[in-house]
Order: sequence, then structure tokens, then C-alpha cells
Amino acid sequence: MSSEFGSNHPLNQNRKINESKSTWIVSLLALSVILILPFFISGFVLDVMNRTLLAFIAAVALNILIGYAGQVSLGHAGFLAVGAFTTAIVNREMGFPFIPTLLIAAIVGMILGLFVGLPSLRLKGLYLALGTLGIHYIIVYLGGEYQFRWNYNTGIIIENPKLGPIVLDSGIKWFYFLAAFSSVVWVYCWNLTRTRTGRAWMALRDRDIAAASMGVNVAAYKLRAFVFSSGMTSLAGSLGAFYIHFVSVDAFTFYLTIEYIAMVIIGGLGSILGSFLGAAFVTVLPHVIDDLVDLLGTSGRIASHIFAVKFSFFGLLMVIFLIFEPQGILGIWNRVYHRLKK
Amino acid sequence: MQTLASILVLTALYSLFGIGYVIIYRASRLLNLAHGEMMMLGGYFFFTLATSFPMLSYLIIPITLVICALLGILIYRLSIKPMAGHPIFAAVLVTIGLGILIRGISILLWTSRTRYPLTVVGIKNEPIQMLPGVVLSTFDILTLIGAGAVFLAFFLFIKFTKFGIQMRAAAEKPLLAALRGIDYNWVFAVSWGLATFTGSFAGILYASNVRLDPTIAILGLKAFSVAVVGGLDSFRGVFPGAAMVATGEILAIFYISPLMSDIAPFVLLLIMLLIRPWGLFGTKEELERV
Amino acid sequence: MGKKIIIFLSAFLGLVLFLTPQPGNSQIRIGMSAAITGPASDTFLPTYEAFKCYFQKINDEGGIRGQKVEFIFEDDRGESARAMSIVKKFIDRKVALIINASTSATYAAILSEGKNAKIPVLFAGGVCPKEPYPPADPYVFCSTTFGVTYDSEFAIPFIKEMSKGEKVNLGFVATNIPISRTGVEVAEKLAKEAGMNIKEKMAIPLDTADYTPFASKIKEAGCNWVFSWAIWNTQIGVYEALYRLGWKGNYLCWAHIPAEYELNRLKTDNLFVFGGNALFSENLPAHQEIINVAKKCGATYPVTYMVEGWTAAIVLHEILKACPNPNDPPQLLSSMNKTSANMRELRGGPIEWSVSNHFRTNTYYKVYKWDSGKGKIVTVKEWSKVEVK
Repeated sequence: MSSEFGSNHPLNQNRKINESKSTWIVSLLALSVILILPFFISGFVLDVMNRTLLAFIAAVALNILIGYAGQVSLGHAGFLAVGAFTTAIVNREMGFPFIPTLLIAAIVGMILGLFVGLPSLRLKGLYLALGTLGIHYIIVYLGGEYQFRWNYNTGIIIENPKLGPIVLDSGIKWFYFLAAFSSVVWVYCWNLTRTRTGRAWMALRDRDIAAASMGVNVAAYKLRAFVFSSGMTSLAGSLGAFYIHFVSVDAFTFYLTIEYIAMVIIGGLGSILGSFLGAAFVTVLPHVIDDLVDLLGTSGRIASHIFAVKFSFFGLLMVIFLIFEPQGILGIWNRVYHRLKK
Repeated sequence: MQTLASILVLTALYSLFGIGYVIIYRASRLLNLAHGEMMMLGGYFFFTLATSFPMLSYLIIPITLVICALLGILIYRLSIKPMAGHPIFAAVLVTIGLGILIRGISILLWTSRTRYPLTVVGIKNEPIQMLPGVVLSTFDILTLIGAGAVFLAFFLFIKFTKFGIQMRAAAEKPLLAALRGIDYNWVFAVSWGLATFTGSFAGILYASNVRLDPTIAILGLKAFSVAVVGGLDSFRGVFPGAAMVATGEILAIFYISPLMSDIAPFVLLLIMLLIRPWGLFGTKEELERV
Repeated sequence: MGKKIIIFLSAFLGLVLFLTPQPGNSQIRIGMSAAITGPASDTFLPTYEAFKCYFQKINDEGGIRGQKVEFIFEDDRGESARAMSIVKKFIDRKVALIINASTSATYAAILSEGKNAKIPVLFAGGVCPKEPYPPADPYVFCSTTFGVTYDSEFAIPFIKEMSKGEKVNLGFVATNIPISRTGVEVAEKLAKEAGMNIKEKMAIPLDTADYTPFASKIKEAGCNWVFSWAIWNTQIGVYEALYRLGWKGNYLCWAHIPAEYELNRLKTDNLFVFGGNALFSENLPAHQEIINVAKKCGATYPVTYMVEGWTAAIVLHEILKACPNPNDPPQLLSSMNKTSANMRELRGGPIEWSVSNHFRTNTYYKVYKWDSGKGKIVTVKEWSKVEVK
């Protein structure tokens, strides 16, 4: 009955206060559950969760570039590689500790981002995409050369990182570190998109000629987008190298870039939460399919075929989301939620 | 001399690849990143038909081409046309998704085994001494002739047939073309069919000359440089673009290091993008429109 | 808002439960991580099928000491990140042994995770890492036939022998991956010591479209012999390109699993393959066994692709037979350190492991080629032993 009068009606104020109180309690409960969870779950599931967090950082970087600033990039795997190889050189060869290595990786990424961003001033859309793709291949080539010349036949092994007195050598410790780290990233990016930089980027994305006429320095903001995105991607690559303790050029394929693009699309362009959902979806889905298939029971021929099906399922999903739901899961979620509300 | 012959054959192959990108770019203004996979499909259809009807021998090639052309039209109708109002990048991503899908289905249908269609049909790919110091194989020659024939046919088609003129009109100014009664959807559909036609021809030639397995689709990415160097919207630029990329690759193998051949196309691509993004023969204004 | 959170949390917990791996029922659990899909699957899928078929037969016949062998197969697509997840899954499922049949990118993940959990690791399809060689790492074993240095130790003297005193102008072909380039460098060093002329050496990119320019370079350098220790596509790509150019020299390359099939397809006389497994052309009883089993279990690859995987499965079978309680890691390890597996003539000799040598004490090679006169594959050189020190 009180809903008839709209939510700002005095009669509804109590309900609202009670609602927000209960929201707080529920949130705290959920948070505590998630925080003690690592001690009870299997190593494998914890690993999946950690990977989701790692993927989230890189996905958010990509989303900021594509979703907020509207710049096209097909070179994501290349920047992850930059972070990973920087880690290999700086941490493994030169012995720098954990945090400085991360910082250096980020800086190297930013510098490279500047170089990649410069052509973006002249090129747009597809040409820019091609350019970034070319850069991806060149980075991968350089990585391969490094591996060969420094005799890292089967890849470079990275030691467990030390965070002050703590060594990150277990899934549980990594989880807490990554959870804290991603929260910081989340808040930072969320804030960034609400500041002047963020708004300038969105203006850039939608109508850059109009933005220019409003006094937005198009060139500067374009560069800023590339620098920021590449820096964070490189940082993600560095974290990944520490987590997997391993760097090898084979991991950085074009398909990896596509996975991240899929995360951003499926999750929802231009949304931090979307980046997280997309990262979670793409990371977790293959394992869910694995287990579903195991449940149904596998037999001979079908088993090998199922592996191929899992691979192509991805492509199918991308196509479907792009054609029917460009806002990704977030779009679906919003629609479903609003429909349920009524 | 042999080097020159190798360059010519590679140019012919790359031209067949590259023209597919140009056709689609002119029609739908996007990059078909699934072109490599479609090329690969051409090889696979050739293989399957060859396995089922080995007696037809060389006739299988035109049949495969027709099937692939129809497939191209189907792909356009199902996945590109619905993206009409969406941003171009989204459509490009659709093609990427398609590429993955096609590759996955290929593995499902044909497994990852390397296949050799010629063995099935019973055609041998023998070396033939052409001139002193120059040896080419049967399919090398076929590639040269095939590419030449396709280009000639295409040139005549575009310049002199009614439909060809309609294609050019729709590519330049779709709205104006529509006003003149040209059904540009049909024109675009046929463009995609033609692109798959040439692409699958390249695929058949490659599958016969080298090998057929799910990884050969990656060549499509190398062939990008061909289209960009020549000019994404220029037919005239395909051959010079292919020539430049092929020459660059082969010279890199001989005079720098064989490893460089992998990235030579991309280096050329980047150089072109930096100094002359619209390619050798592309239209300058294309740049802004993107 | 609160409701949203509760829904999300329950879904999340449900997902966590769903994904949690359950340890199996059987006493003997083996985990195998293979590149079943992905670019390298052509090399490793047959090995996976061989294991699957072999142990299906064993289980049909009652298993080992009445216990069925439970195999957990996972697809790592040749990627290190996936391999790491898979090993964690195996650890949760409490497997006794982990087998790897995948690209070298997966090695580091499998090695570090397996060793942390103190589970023995067997490399059964890809090139052996350095750990199994003497002095061997306690947890790492390898049954794969090829080895970076020993292959060349056989191959170079073989080339010298075949050249019958004529001058050898040698060309080397590697793939642009570190292991292949290293293998070729070892061969180069040995060839120089043997007094051969090195005319050409190249490392070819993985996704090469056209091998012709590489082949012309070799032909123009005047090579009369070519040695290739690379992935199969590179080896055969360069060979076929050389053939199309009318090159008449001799080509020696490693007999990867497609080798026999390809020899039968190409039917050319100047392609020599050397390897550690007996080809089906020898028609041994063990080969007949493979044919029968493969038919029954629905293998998708031709039987000639399965020998490497089959021999690895034989080794595993012998290990499990010899150890009364495989689920106790120290017992399993000490049993494995005493392995002497009869390879049923599929290899040149038994596979023998010791505490310090987890590769094998002796490795054997054989050379085959197609003989158009006889219309079949012939053995060019019988089993030759190379000691592993």
C-alpha cells in the first residue's frame, strides 16, 4: 500500500531507512563469508577466484580504453607480455623485489602506451586496431628473441614474491592480496571515470569533434587513455607472472587478446562492474562446462569432441552478445532486475 | 631468378587473400577478421568433396568455390546484416567471434589432423623445371594462373557488367545508390560471397601446395598487411600491396634472418600506417570516415 | 539491494560447490594433462588417445590387482595458465601421478605445482625437460623418445656413415622455438667436430605460410644433406618445398608421430626419419595389439600416430604393476626408481630408471625411409644405442 505513493513519500521514508540498514547488514555478512571462504575451499576453486581477480585488473584496463575512451586496441596480449617480460628481466635477472618490479612494469607499460598512443592521433577505428595488432606481433617477436638469447628454453621461472615479511606462496595469501589490490583498482577506476578525465574520455568516445569544440584537448586525452590503460595492463601482466611463477612468449597469443575483448563485451562496455562480471564469466565458464560435461558422462569420441565444442562456444557467445545484447551481462541483469521489480 | 619466381608465387597467393579484404571493406566498411578461417574452410570443403568424389578430380575446385560463395552470402545475412546500425568496431568483433566459431566447428568436423587433399584426389604436385635455375611446382603454376584469371575476371566484371557497376556505386555512396534503385543489401551479400570465393580459392591452393590444418587460418592475419599497404578500398592496390609484402618477406628471409619473415608483414603494415595510412592506392578521405 | 546481494552470494557459493573437485573412488588415480585442443593438438591428441585406449583395455580386463585405474584427462590446450589450474585440480583429487603430454609452455606450471605437492610427474609426449636427466630431480620422470643432445649424438655419426666418405655439405633447419634452436646448435657443434661443412642454418617461424624461400636458400647454399630437429610441420614443410624445387639431397629429421603416415603418403626416397619407436612397417605383435585396441576404443587418429603414447602407457602400466600401493608417494617413488620396463620391441631396449637417471640408462635409435623399389618403408639402420650419462 505504501508503494502507491512513490518512494519519496513520507510514509515510505521508514521503509527506506530500514532497507538501507538491512542492506548494510547483508553486505557485511556477505563480505565476511567471502573473506573466510579461502580457508574452506579447494585449492582449485581458490585458483579460479584468484585468476578472476587478475583478469579483472587487465579487463578494467581494456574497458577504460575501449568502453570509456572509445579507442580501439587489438594489442592487449602484447601489453600483458610487456608486463610479464619486464618482471622476468627486472625481478629474475636483476633481483628487484616485488613492489618495485610492479611499479617498473607499470611505468614501462605507460611509456610503451605513449608510443602506441601517438599513432592513435592520426589513425582511427580500424586503422588503429591494425596498428595495435602489428605492435602485438612485434612485442611477441621480441619476447621470443629474449627467451632464446638468454637461454630460457622452456620459459622463465619467477620466484614467489615477498611482501614485506610475508611470502605470497599460497592461494590463500594471494587471494587476500589480490582482493585488496583489485578493490583499490576498482575504487580508483570508478573514481577516475567520474572525474574530468573520465568525462573527457566519454566525450571523446561519443563525438570527438564535438568534444574538441567544447575545449577538450582531444590529443592529450587520447594519449592519457593509452598511457593509463597500457600501464595498468602491464601491471596486470606483471602480477600474473608472479602468480603463475612463469613467463613464456607462447602464452601471449592473439586469442588471449580476444578473450579480454570478450570479457569486456560480455560484461558490458563502459562499466567497472561489467569488467568484473566479464572477467569472472570468461574465467569461470570453461570450468563450468568441464564439470557439466563430466556430469553427463563422457564416452570415447564425444569426449574429444567436447573439447572442441568448448572452444567454439566462446566464439558463438561473442557473436550472440554483440548482435543481441551489446551491453553485455550487465545489460541483461539490468533488464531482468527491472522487470522483477515491477 | 628462383627468388623472383618465389616472390611471384607468394604475391599471387597474397593477392588472392587480399582481394577478399578489399571487397568486404568496400561493401560493409569493416575488416573481416574471419577471412583466414573462411580461407581455411575452402581448403576443408575441397578435402571433404575430394574424399567423397575423388573421380571428379580438378572439377571439385569450382564446386567448392561455389559452395563457399554461398556460405559467404549466408554469413552476411546472418551475422553482418543485423549489425547494420551498430558501431563498426562491434561488427569487427563479430567477425572475430565468427572466426573462433568457424575454427571450433572445423576441429569438431575434421579434427586437428593435418590433411592433404591432393593425396585423396590422386593429383601429384611435382616440381617442374621452368627456366634454367627456376623450378616451380604444379600448384605454384596453378596459383599464378588462378590468381591471374581471378583478377582478370574480376576486373572485367567490375568495369563492364551491370552488377559490377552497381557494386562500385553502392560502395561509394550507398544512399545514392539506393535512390537509384540498387538493392544494396543484395550487392553487399554478393560482395561477401565473392570475398569467400576468392578466399577459399586461396585456401584450396594453399591446402594443396603446403598442408591443411586448423592453424593455417593465421595466414589471414598476415594478409592484412596486403590490404592495408595497397589501400583497404582499392582493387588496384591489391597486387602492388601483395607484391610489396611478399618481396619484403622473402628478402627478409634471405638477407636479414629467416625469423624476420614472421613480422616483416607487420612491420610493413606499421610503417604504412604511420606514413600513409590509406595505403598506396586507397582514397585519402577514407581515413576520416572510419 | 539487500536481496540482490543475497542472490549473488548464494549463486556464488553454489558455483563454488559445483566447481569443487571430488576425489574419485578408485584406489589408483592418475591425472593426465594434455594438449587435446589448441595448435599443438596434432602432436599430443594421439598420445592422449593411446593412453585412453590402453587403460580402457586394462580396465576391461580387470584392472591392476583387481583395481581399476581411474584416469582423469584434462585439456590444457598447451597453455601454462591452464596447466596450472589443472594440476591444482589433480591435487584436490589426490592423484598418485601426473602425466604431461603437452607443449613445453606447460612444463613450469606442472613441475612447480607437482613438486610442491610431492606428486611424481611423468612427461610422456613432449620433449623431456632437463630434470629427468642425471642427476635426476626426485619427482620428475620422462618416457619421451627424443632428447636434445642424445638425438644429435646419434644423427651426426649416422649422416657421416651414410655419406660414405663424400664431403657433407650440411644444412640445419630448426623451428623458431628455443628448444628446437638449442637442439640444432648441439648438432652443429658435433657436425663441426666431425669435419662437416655447415652451409646453412635456419630457424623458421611457427606460422610460416610458404616454406619455399627457406628451401631455396638451402638449395642455393649447395647443401647435399639437411638435418632438421624441429616440430613436424617445419620439418616436413621444408622437405616438401625442397622436393618441389627439385632438390636431390638427403633429408634427415626426427620421426615425430606423423612420420610413418607421411612416409607412406609422400613415397619419396630421400626422406630419412630417425626415432626411438618401431614403426608399424615392422609389423610386430605389439603393433597388431595396438591396431585391435584402437579399433575397439574409437581412436580418431591413424594407429601409426599412437606408438609414442602407447609406449608411455606401457611404462606406466609397468610402474603400477610393480608398486603394491601407488597412492603412497614414497612407495611409488621408490618403485619408479627401480623401473625396468619391457617395451615389447617397440623401443630398442627396456626403459630403465634409477635414482639418478629418470630418462633412461640407454636410449636407442632407428632410421627408416621409403624405398620405391620395394614399395614400402624400410629400415636403414637397426637399433643403435646411445648411453645416457
